[in-house]
Amino acid sequence: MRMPNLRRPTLVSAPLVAVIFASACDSPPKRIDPTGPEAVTGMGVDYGDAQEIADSLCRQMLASPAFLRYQQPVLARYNNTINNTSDPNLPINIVNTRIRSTLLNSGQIQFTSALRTAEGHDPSVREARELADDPMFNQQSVQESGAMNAVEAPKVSVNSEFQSAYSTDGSSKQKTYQLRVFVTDLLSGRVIWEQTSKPIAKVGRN
Amino acid sequence: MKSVLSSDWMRLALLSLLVLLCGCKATNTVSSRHPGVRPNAIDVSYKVDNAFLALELKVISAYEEVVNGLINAQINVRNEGAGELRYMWQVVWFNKSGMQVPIEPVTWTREFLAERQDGTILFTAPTRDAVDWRVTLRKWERKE
Repeated sequence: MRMPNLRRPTLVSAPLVAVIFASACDSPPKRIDPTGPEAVTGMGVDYGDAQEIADSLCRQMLASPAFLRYQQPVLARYNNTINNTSDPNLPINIVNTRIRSTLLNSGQIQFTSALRTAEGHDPSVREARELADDPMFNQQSVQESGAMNAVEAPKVSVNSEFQSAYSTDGSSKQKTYQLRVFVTDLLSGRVIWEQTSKPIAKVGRN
Repeated sequence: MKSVLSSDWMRLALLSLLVLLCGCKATNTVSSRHPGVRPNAIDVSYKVDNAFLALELKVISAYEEVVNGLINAQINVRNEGAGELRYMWQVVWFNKSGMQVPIEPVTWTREFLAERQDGTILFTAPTRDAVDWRVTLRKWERKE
């Protein structure tokens, strides 16, 4: 009686098992809530961290009496967030956008985009006033320069800065970040509001 | 006599063990009883879909005030579970017509509470049109 060839099925099934393993490991991408529990936590400031601390600071600013002295909405210039940490990959743009949009939507603050050195500068403001000599444009639709159509100067500036501290005990390392925001009255030069966010601390192994 | 002593010792040992097991990371709290404080407490409804979380994270009260025309709200909570509690909260706002105020992204805010620690969930209306709010609580389970 001839024995069945047991070796052949093993050889055939080996690639099949490998394919199954490979497909199991290579799971397809899925959409997640970027600030929810499925979000990846790194040692730096993640998307959710940035949104959380920027939003929290803005809410504190809006709940303070800092802007009561001005006629609202107060015109402000927004200065780009300074990175005073050793991490070059901080989500600066996310923080800028969240601070600006939160303050703007509150109805208490508006930002000028006419200043070249301010974050959110829009060259269209100046360009639109330079069309007065251009025959290509209907002159009745051109923005006039001069006192009647002058751009308003900002009354306050909104400034933000990332700060960090690093510590290690040899086996573990801790990086702690915080966001500082302060508002300056441009007429007097006085800081009228300042606060730091709650710290975002991350621990990892060396 | 011997049995009484041994039962006393047993009770003391059990109590000590209980304190060691449950109380290592618990907190003690000192708070004022200032008679001038009259918090503007509001009625809240608390819909519990996660009974386990509700047992750990107890919602005690909620306060509201209006600052600069914006509603400022505070929910007072306490960790009544065993050990540190990590949770997340999210708030959405509604206008007087009941429509959600479109603020994106709606973010989850992460919080820690030590055992028996009191905490606050603080949030401010995004606009003056935002008159009502709803807060969602969930456990913050870390992605490993």
